[in-house]
Amino acid sequence: MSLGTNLYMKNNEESRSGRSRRTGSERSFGPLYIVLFLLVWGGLVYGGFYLSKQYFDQEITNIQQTNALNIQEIKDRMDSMTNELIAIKGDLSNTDETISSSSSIQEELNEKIEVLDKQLENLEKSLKILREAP
Amino acid sequence: MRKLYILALLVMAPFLGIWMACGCFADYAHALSIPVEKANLSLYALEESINIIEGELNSVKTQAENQKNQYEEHDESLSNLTKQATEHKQESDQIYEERILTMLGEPIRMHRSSKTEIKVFKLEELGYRGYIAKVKLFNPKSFKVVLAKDTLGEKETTMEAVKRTGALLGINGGGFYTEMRDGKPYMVHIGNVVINGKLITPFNGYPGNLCFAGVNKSGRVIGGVLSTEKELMALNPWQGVSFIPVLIKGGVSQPIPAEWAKTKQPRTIMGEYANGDLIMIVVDGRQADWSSGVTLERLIDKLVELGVKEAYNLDGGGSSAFIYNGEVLNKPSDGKLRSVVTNVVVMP
Repeated sequence: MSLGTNLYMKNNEESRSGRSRRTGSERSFGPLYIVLFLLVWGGLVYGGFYLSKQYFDQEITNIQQTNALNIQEIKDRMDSMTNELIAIKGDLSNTDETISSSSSIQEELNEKIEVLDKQLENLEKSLKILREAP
Repeated sequence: MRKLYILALLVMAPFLGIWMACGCFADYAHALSIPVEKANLSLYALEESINIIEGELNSVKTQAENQKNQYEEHDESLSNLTKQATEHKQESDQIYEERILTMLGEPIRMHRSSKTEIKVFKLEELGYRGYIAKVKLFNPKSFKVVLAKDTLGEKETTMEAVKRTGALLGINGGGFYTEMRDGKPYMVHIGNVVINGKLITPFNGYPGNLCFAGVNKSGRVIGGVLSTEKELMALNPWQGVSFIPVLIKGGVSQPIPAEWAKTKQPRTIMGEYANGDLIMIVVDGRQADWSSGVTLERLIDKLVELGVKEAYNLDGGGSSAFIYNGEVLNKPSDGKLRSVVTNVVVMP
């Protein structure tokens, strides 16, 4: 074989060996890409999960706060009404006492009217007696 | 390049799902809110009702208080009126009492307790003298008719009766006569005698002017010519004796039997003023140097002058006796006290 042919053959072989080396590095980067991809994907999933969780938590907290405020408002109003009802109960009790007292006074009045009637009768008799005095 | 797009789509897929879920969650999140709107409406209605009740209650309360105040004012007015009426009655009674006392003069003896008030006066008129007791019975049981020795057929003096019963005042009572029973004198009362609300003997329907004189359970003088037991019991007698005649009834002088009208005798009278005060009078007689006695006609005039509204003649003559606090005030015509069947006493 000629030198030229030898060179050519050598170059050709080098060229072949270089291609085969490139194919081997491609093969070694494949799993790395997959791992990288999974890491990125996992990060994104986590990020998504985190953001969603934040969002849901915030929403639920907002709702809880709104509910709590509403409940508190209702509770305050119920408390206010309870106080008003207690006041009404007190007023009713007072009014009941007043009415009972009035009834009692009315009975006393009737008795006193009877006493007065009796006294007036006695006075009338006494005056009649006095008219007949010697 | 196409593989890259596919890869990108795959990578974005979870985010797309999350984004969609978030979008839907916003809608569902509202469902988690407690629906307070209806509750609020109910609460508003309830509050409104409570306000109305409060208003009504205040109105009722105000009315009740006004009514109570009015009642209290009326109560006070009535108390004042009652007090005034009582004061006027007391004044009227006092004036009447003063008028009576003016006619009777100054009392020579006086006693007052929770049961009785006794005032003793001298009676001095032209031709006769005697004693008057004006008695207020606060307790009607202080007035008693006493049967001699508490036994039928017996006799005792007014002094003995007064001492035996512990009385403060005593006068002789109803008429009596003596009959013989089993050879022994037996004293019999005339007419009917009531002691503690009971006839001591069966009703005696003696015809004529014989009258019953006594007090009822209220201490008011009762009496009259009573022909039946029913008539007597209708008067609700507590104590009483019988004699003749009725002198004054209901403020009106009664006709006196002729045989009683004109003779001067010692007299014993029981009567009542218009205010319920009892009057007991004993007039001495048959003693020219002291008192010759009084006719019933004159005595009636005197009683009317004194303001007596009811008067009955009791047993007179030698029986007339007036005892006060263990002392014989009058001068009995026999020169000593006569034993009689019934006496009238007043406890201190």
